[in-house]
Order: sequence, then C-alpha cells, then structure tokens
Amino acid sequence: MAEVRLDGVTKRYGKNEAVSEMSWTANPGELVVLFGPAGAGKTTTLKMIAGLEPLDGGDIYFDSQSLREVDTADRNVAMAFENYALYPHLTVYENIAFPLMVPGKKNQFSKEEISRRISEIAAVLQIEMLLKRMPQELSGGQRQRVALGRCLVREPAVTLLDEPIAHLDAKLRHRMYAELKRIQRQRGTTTIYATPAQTEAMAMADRIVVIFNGKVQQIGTPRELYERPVSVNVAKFGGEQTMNIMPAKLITEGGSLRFLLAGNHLPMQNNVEADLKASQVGQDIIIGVRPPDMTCSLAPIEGGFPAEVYAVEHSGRHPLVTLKLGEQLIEVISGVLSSGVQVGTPIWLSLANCRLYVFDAVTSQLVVTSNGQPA
Amino acid sequence: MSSITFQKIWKIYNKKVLAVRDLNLVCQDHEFLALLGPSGCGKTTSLRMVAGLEGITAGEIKIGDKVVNDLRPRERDIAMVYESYGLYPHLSVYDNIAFPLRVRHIADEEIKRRVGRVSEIVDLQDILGRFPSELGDGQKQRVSIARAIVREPAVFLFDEPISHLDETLRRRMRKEIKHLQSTLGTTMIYVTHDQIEAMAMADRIVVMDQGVVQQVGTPEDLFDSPANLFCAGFIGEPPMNIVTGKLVREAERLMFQSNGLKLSVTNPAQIQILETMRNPDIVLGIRPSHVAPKVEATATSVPAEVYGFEPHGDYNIVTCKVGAEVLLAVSGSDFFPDLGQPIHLEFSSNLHFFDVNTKWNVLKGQGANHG
Repeated sequence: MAEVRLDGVTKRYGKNEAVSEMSWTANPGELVVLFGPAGAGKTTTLKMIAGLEPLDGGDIYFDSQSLREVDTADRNVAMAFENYALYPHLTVYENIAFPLMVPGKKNQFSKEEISRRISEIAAVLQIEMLLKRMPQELSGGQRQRVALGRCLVREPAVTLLDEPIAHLDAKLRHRMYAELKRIQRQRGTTTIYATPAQTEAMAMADRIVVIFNGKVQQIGTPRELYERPVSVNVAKFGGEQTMNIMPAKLITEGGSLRFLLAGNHLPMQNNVEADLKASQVGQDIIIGVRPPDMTCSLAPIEGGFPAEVYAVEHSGRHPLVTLKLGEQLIEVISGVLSSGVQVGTPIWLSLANCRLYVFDAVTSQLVVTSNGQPA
Repeated sequence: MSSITFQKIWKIYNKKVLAVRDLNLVCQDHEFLALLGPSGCGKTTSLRMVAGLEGITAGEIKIGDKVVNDLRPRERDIAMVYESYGLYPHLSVYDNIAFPLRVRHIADEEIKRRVGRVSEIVDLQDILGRFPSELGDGQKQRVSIARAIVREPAVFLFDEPISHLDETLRRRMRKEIKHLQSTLGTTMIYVTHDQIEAMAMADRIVVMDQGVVQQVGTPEDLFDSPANLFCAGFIGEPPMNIVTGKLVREAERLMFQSNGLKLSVTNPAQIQILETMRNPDIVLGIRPSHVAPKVEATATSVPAEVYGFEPHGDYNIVTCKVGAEVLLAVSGSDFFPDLGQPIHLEFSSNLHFFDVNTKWNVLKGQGANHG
C-alpha cells in the first residue's frame, strides 16, 4: 500500500506533448481512475508510473521516494494492459503463476501457496475452468481476464490497470466491477485504472482524474463529477445521458437577467440570477441541462419555448425524445412524453425550474449551477 | 414503399451449414424492423437474401406482392447501407450519391435536383465536392445513407450501419436514421447485434439465435415478457437476474426458493401453470429495475448485503449478495451504500419463470411467435 504522487509530470513525443504538467495524488489504498478519450494520455501516464517510459519533466513518487533512480523491476508494481501479452507456450495456470516464479528466488513461494493464490484469483475472475487451456484457445474476454489474473496474483505496492475489462459482455462486466473493487478493497492495494468508458469509471473509482489532451481537467469522486462538472468537456463526455449543451446569451429585461436562447427570452431561478454578475450581460454563455432534468409540456408554458420532436427512441421507463430547436438538438426524458409522440409535434420546454449549469462560452468553465429548487 | 414477407425461408450453405431455419415473418409497410442477435445468428444472411446477395435454399421472399427470389439485386427496388460504407474512393461525395441514378440513366438535371435534396436531408450540402478520404466516419456513413435514399427505394436494408462508430457519434446517428425513417416512411430492415440500438430504434424486433427466430415483438414486449431464457438474458441493460431454484409450497402459498432467495409467486396465470408442472426445478428471471434496494426492512423485503456498487448519475446499480446468489438491483441516485453494508431488497411482482429443460417462459409455451 503506497501513496502515488505525480508532480508536474510531462511527456513529449517529438513536438507533441502527450502529458503536460500533470499533478495528482492517489492515497494509500485508493482506486483512482484515469478517465478520458482515446489519445488523452492515460496509457502514457501508466507507463511512466511503471517505468516503461522515461519522463521529460516533473517527478513521480511512491510515498516520499522519487522514482527517478528506481528501475522498473524494483518499483513493486503489477500491470495489466489492454493487449493481453500472454505467453503462448504456457497454459493459463502457468501464465498466472509466472510472476511468482522469480528467477534466482525459485522457492520464494511454495507450490501450495502458488496453487492457493491461483485458485483464489481464478474464482474471482470466473476462469477456474480455463486453467489448463492454452491462450490461443481462449476468447478475447477470457484472455483479458487471464492477463488480469497474472497481475492480481501478486500483492504489489501499486497495481496499474489499462482498460482491463473492455471486452466483456454486459453480464460479466457488472460482476467484474464488483469483484475487482472488492479484491482491491480487501487487499488495500493502491490502484490506478485507465478507461475511456464513463460508466466503468463511475463504477470503479474512489476518485476520477479526468484527462483531455494530456491535461488534468478535474479530479473528484464520481458523484462530484456528475453534480459539479467544472467544464463543458467534463459535462458532455461519455455517459448514457449526455448533458444538453445549448449556446445562449445573457440579456436584461425589465431589470431582470434573462437567457436569450434561439430568440426566446427565458427567465431563470433566483439563485442562478443572483450568482451571475451584471457585468456578464451581453456575453455568450452555454447552458447545460441533462435530459431527465428538462421541464417539458405538450401545452405552452409561461416562460417556456417550443421545439419540435425530431426522433423518438425507446429507453427504459420513458422514451428518449430528441427535439429540434433551430439547428440545436435537445434530448429530453419526461413522463409527459410517450413513445407514440409524432415527429414534428411541438413540445414546450422551460429552464425556470430545472437543474441547470451555466458555462462561460469562451473558457468553457462552469460559472454557476442551480440546485434544482423552484425559483 | 412495400411490405416484406419471409415465407418458410431456409438457408443452408454447402448442403450442411444451417444458417437460417424456417423463417416466417412480415415486415409491414412503413415499419422499422430490427433483426437482432449475436454473431452467427442468421440476421445478416436473412437481410442479404432480401437484397438478392445470397441465394435462397427454400421458401419465398416477397417485396410487396411480388416474389423476388429470382430477381437480380438491382431489380428489387431496395437500397442497402453497410457497416463498411462501400463508397467509391475516386468519386466525390456528389458523384458517390449520384452514382445509383447515373447507372439508371437518369437525366443530369433530375440527378442534380435529387442529390441536392438528399444532401440537405443528411446535412452534406457543404461538402459535396470532397472525396471519401477527406471525410470523418460519421460523414462517410451519411454519404452512404444519402446514396441509399436518393433512389427513393421501396425498402431500406441497413446492415450494422453504426456499430463501429464511437459512442457519441453512434448516439447522434441513431437519431438521424430514426428521424429519416420516420419522415420518409420507407420500410426498413435494420440488422444489429446491439440490443440497446435495436430497442431504441425499432418498431418491432426479431430476436434470432443459431438461425432460428426466438421472439418477435415490440421493445415493450421483449422487455416485459421474454419468450425464453435466451431473450431474457440478451435484452436489457443491466441484464436480467437469472436464478435457478425450486418451487415449494408453504402454508398454501406457492414459493420460489433458491440457495438464499425465497419469494412468493403472486401472478395467478403463472401459479396456474406452475401448479401443473411435475418437475419442481425452475429458473427465475427478474429485471434489476424490478429489485429495489432499501435501507430499512419491510414486511416483504429480503435481507441482502451490498457486494458492488455503480453510480450512473441519475440512478445506481447495486450488486447484492442474497445467500449464495449475486443479484443486480437498481436504486435511485440518492442511495449510496457502503460495500458490505446490510440492506433489504423489495422484489416487484414482475417475476418471469422459465422451464429448466426447454428454457421457455412457462407462460409462452414453446415455439416462436411468428409475426
């Protein structure tokens, strides 16, 4: 169990800066997810922690020890990367046992101890029946779990996992979230876990480090990221119900602040109005609202605006209805809209009572969020 | 626009590999019908038989009233969209879209008018001069869709058109395709392995496995009354909980009992059938959204332990251990339990029972609902 600390870590490939001045800390025993799109710098960061890529700036510490002079083999990290890299001439059992057979320290683990550990980990990963097979006889999802087993059979100071369960079916995936999280908690191994999937990040993380273009965007618990995304990018990335992002303007009307959205003058909650400064009047802003939080109605509503039904998709209890407002598509999920609603039907929306986020149009940073209470 | 009828359709490759077995199905005029199943289930083969790209071993396919078995693909009045786009790399976007009109010797003026109109529908009007290599994946697929609709065919056949796109683009294209089909009203057969996609878009879904239709129904039908264990496990996210156990009688009440779970059966139609079954072994299915985790016990709740936890924003998935069973449950967004915390599960009456041998829903009997 070690603290992992990155301090201003930078990595360049030629002119391209893959990781820029990255700083964050994983507490001892914590599971930190690195979350971002492909190419964000997640894997590069893991490789630098493992010692597989040299740093171009900054430093990485395990507890208070700088890793600058510490070889890969001496860092006491275990890794599972997305390309499984199993030994093709060894059985599944032998592949998993491999890290326990340290050259020169042949008898560090007894046969019984090795067997005990492998049984335990195979049960967790549900690969008990595969132990005698060869890697080429396995499916992608099975190989991935063997690679994960080989990583988890050790009890290192730090575990690094790069999209370790990207290829599993839905049923196994939910189970693996629970099993992995459990074994990580039980052992208290500090774990850094990279994924581009929002649901996976939310399921696994104690805390999430959101990374775009090699830069940290936000660090927080899953709940904090959902409730208070600091920027448009964090708010709209991934997710089953992505936030609607609506470009608008702030104006005044009769002494009150209004949103100007596609020609409509819309009132807002008092607390939002109080937090927006008069100096911001006339500025471009971005309004963010999640689909279930939109207030909608089939009849005109005071302070509302009409949009037309563009597409209707079946989804859970209520359909996901996409509305078109000018060039803007807006997704809503509401009890008042049934799956029978016809394309072209006008639907009235209001921002007066819903949970909304206001972002600066230039910096994309969060300016204010309502708490969802009526004005 | 036309209906599509599959009548006793069989497809056997090399006299031995059975790809499609006795498919009987009508896709109604204007309908959006999804063929859904895992790879190798026969969905793409079925679509390609409609297109004329695969021969039919036995049976008849009709488009409208016309049997098309012996018609060449271009005589069938269909348009196909593939996962791989199939664009001509040496032709511009305009010429790619115009291609099917040119081969039919349509006048240049008419071609210009029609390409102009469809390129607006799929929002390509500003990039008509570009070449495929200069386009993003979503744009390429829009060109391929424009090329399909420009001919105003009677039938659209879409084969996994968006499976390979990233999540954001896939969600966007889902809406565009759905919008297009709703507004044009063209009959659509849409092949996908992604149940979320099929459930979101289709009017009706045909679930296939190993060349055989398992169930035909609306998304609601498939969610609320799965025909068999295959459909039960394939449809729904998070997936349905499947528990093997026994039927027992306790104080005149019929109960389901497994290694850790005990629930009373309350649906009269189910009781009537379950009462007649000789074998007490049975498989229970219950959707995670029909299992509610609670902090406090109620008169009917079952004690459980939190085994895993996934916040999803506006709802949470709780993995629970009930005796030896591991079940998924769905809670509201304000339920934040600790791992290992004792909780209580409230089961709704929406239980599904499957015959342990035939794997069919006891309420459905055996045999697919051939629509």
